[in-house]
Amino acid sequence: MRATTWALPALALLLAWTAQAEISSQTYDLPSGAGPHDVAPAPDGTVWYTAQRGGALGRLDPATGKVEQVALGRGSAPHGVVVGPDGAAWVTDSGLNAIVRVDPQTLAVRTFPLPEARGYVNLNTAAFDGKGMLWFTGQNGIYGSLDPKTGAMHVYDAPRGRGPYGIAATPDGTVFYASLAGSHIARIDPQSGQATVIEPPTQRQGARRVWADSKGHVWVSEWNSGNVSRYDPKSGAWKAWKLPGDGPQAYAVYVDDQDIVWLSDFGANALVRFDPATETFKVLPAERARVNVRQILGRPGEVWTPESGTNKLTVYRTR
Amino acid sequence: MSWRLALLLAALAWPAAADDRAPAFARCYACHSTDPAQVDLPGPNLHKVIGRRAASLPGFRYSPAMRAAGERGLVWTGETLDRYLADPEAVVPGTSMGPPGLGTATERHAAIAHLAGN
Repeated sequence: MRATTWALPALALLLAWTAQAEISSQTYDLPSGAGPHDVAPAPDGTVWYTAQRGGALGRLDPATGKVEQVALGRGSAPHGVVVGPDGAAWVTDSGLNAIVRVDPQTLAVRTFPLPEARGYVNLNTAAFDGKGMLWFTGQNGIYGSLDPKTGAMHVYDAPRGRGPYGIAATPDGTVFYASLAGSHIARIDPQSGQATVIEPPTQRQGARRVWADSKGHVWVSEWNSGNVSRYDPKSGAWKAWKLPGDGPQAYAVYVDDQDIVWLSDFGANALVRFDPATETFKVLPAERARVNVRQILGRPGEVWTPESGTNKLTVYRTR
Repeated sequence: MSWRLALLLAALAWPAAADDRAPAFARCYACHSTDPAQVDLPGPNLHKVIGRRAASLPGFRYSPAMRAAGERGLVWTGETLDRYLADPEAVVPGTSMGPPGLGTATERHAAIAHLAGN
């Protein structure tokens, strides 16, 4: 009996060590002045990134470390990038006030400007829904859709004005966005275009980004409260957990292929892994000062982080 | 228009405060307000920011980088705002504010004039 009591914690420690040992990281330098904001790993093994300071879209080949950057136009300041069903990179360019498509083969740039009557909307992030429609957010108080096939664009006033920030689709194709200034998340009806506000349990939490797990739960990084929270669209239930440390500020959130939740914490200058099964956090302190990771995205076995503060991309390999 | 002229024009326009929805403030609007009552936005309130020491607004949680800049004596003037808005990361490395800044001098000076009038 005593041996069993000893053996169980030892086994748990071994498993934890094994799990941690499986994670390795590799960092890539980017061209001077790039200023990466978001990343989008592509199915072909390359990784797109927005060079926000440099007004370009970059593409890294992790196998060789080779980087190429495509200038997006005068005044460009790209914020978000996602890979579309067509394999292209789709960029939300706050400088150009336009959605930009970059062809993966030719690197040709096609620009879809926001309607002039809308003025400057401060474009933020985009996501594709289950039918291939691109949905995007603008922090000055809008969200919208772009049909990649026809170029038709619709822009809607956000329910509570300024704030729409991160956006993501659940596995069934439903799109949710987070409102940073508005401290809520919203679900978009793809037919009507209407956004329905969903209130997190913590007041003034500063919902910055959203991501979905394999079960369709929506995970939210809360900038003001330092929480990560989970919304179940089926039951409407919420649950929130405070990140470790004295003053966490959760900026980015991403859920990997094992349903582990990854967050960036500006307060601790760290990446934070959260295991929903055990409700436990694992802090991965940054190896450099002020990395300022503003977004996280991955593909099976890899989690990518753009370090806006150090001009680097880092990949965490989980197996 | 230089930032000095922007401040002069703003002073002449006093006391008429401009709406934060004005194009001059459009790139700041998502995170900032010049309405002193609006203090729950992601960025610090910018009411009467000209002449204020960096990271000195009570109740706002600034980044360590911005707090350090304030402790080193950074004060928001037309000149320092012009440099910061052109490239925030260059002036305050590690700032939480997004890195693109305001690309053209015209945009920056319009934003500074807006701040000076509010």
